[in-house]
Amino acid sequence: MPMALLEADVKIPERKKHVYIKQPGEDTKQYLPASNITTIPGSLSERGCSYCGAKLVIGGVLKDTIQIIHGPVGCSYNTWHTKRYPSDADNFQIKYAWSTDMKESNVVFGGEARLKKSMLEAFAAFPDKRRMMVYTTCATALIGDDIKAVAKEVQDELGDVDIFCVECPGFAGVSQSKGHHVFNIDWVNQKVGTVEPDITSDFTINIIGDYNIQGDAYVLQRYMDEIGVQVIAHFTGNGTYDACRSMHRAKLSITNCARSAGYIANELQKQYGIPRMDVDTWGFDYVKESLRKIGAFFNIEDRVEALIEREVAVHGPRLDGFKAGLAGKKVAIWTGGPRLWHWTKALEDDLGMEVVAMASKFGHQEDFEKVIARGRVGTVYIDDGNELEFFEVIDMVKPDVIFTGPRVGELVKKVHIPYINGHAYHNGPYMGFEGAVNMARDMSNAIHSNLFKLAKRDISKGGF
Amino acid sequence: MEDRIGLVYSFVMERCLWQFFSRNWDREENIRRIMGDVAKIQSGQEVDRSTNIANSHYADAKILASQLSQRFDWFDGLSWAKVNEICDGVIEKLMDIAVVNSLNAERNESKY
Repeated sequence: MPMALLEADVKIPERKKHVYIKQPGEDTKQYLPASNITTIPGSLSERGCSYCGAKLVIGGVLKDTIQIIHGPVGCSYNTWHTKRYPSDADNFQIKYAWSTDMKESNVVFGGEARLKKSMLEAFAAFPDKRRMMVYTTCATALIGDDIKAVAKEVQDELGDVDIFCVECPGFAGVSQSKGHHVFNIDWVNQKVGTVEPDITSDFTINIIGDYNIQGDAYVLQRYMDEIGVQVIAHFTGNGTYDACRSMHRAKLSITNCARSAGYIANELQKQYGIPRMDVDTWGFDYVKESLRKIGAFFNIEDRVEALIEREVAVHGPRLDGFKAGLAGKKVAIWTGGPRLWHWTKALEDDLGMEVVAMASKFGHQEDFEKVIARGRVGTVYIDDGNELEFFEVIDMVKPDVIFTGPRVGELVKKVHIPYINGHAYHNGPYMGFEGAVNMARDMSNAIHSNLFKLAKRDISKGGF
Repeated sequence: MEDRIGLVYSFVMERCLWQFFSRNWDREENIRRIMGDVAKIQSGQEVDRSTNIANSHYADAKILASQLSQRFDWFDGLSWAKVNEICDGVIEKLMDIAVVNSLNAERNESKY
């Protein structure tokens, strides 16, 4: 029964091709869940929209860029408050949200004049910010507002500004994944190569597909500083607009989230000869391996080994302290896509845990090839999972803790299973050596919390 | 020999990511070059590092060769012919699962 029709899906049997339970001796030549295809009507999807993938995941992370959302106000609000990616620029990118606040009359008569007014107002309100991204949304795409023409007018009028237009409305694709794709390809074709960076080291790198969730990028930057590698651009964690325009000058791109940013890494290799090196920057042992690859590339292995030795001496015992309480505990990972394959072996090899179910919102078949190669026999693999499927899988695999987002997280709390925010973390960073310890600590706190034990008591039956 | 090819293949599948790049041609280039470099490194031959892309394959191969040495006590003592045979066998299996018989429908999508 490798592809499984869950009881929750009896009325929507099309879901069978999205749910896989790995059996001994099987591999992805035989079974590979369908993914990155349209959500089946009747399935309550957890997916986001394509505009969200461009804005919330990638563009909105930049610390020096005004983000104008050309659409109804909700499009801005709903991609503002749900991610925790700080910056060293006084958190400019998470303090503010900008919207053209389109109303019915603007939809009927066109929104270009309103957009231009909003762009000029925003530049006037933030005179030290001279970079802007403008996003079309469903409403403004449908009425055909030409945001590129408006952006050109504003650039010509102000002279000292640069504007990137993201034309990826919510309906552009089947999930947020389309937004990642559109942003990546338009950025590399329109903006990369338009700024020359100051080169301060023989060793130059792009860090691609890290979004500085609770400080991940700070950890990676510190490692690179210590081994003398200049980060040309972070795409886009704690990154800047102009640094991302200068990505063509790096000698190497290391790629963590290959789903959201593999496209630009591919194009940098194809267009500029900058190799794409995929790495795992989560996981205690994986981090050693990733740093060693960078060391081998630049012939600076001695510096890397010194860094690893010191970090392991500091954080290794801390990680060891959590192992006894986590070994043998069952984990479910229900996140976007890549964290499934980044985390499953790390949790099992570093901590002795068992990853018993994994669900991806927007992963492609490439992600399932990776995760099924790394994942256990007997584990349940789900694409675009729905709420009822999640509850059924909980009954099947009985996880001790679930990594997922706040929406699903609130649901699983109701069946008294602790969740950890798998998108924005509980208490990160989770990357690097210290991040692996933070992740282990959060799991330990969740699994051994007395609150959940108390919550399970049925007071109507004399629980107290 | 088949057992040893299977062990190295399983380790690569669990540990590495380069065999699952976006497109068929990227996958094939990575598989052939990185496993080819592993064979060269293990037998003390010179590896092409003349471009950044070649150097990247070398870096992946160097770390993989080191991991295989640590994991399998028989790996370091192999002759050039045996190392080559193992790496060729692993290439064949990786090509089979990631390129030739992969069910991933996006591998040949030119706009991926």
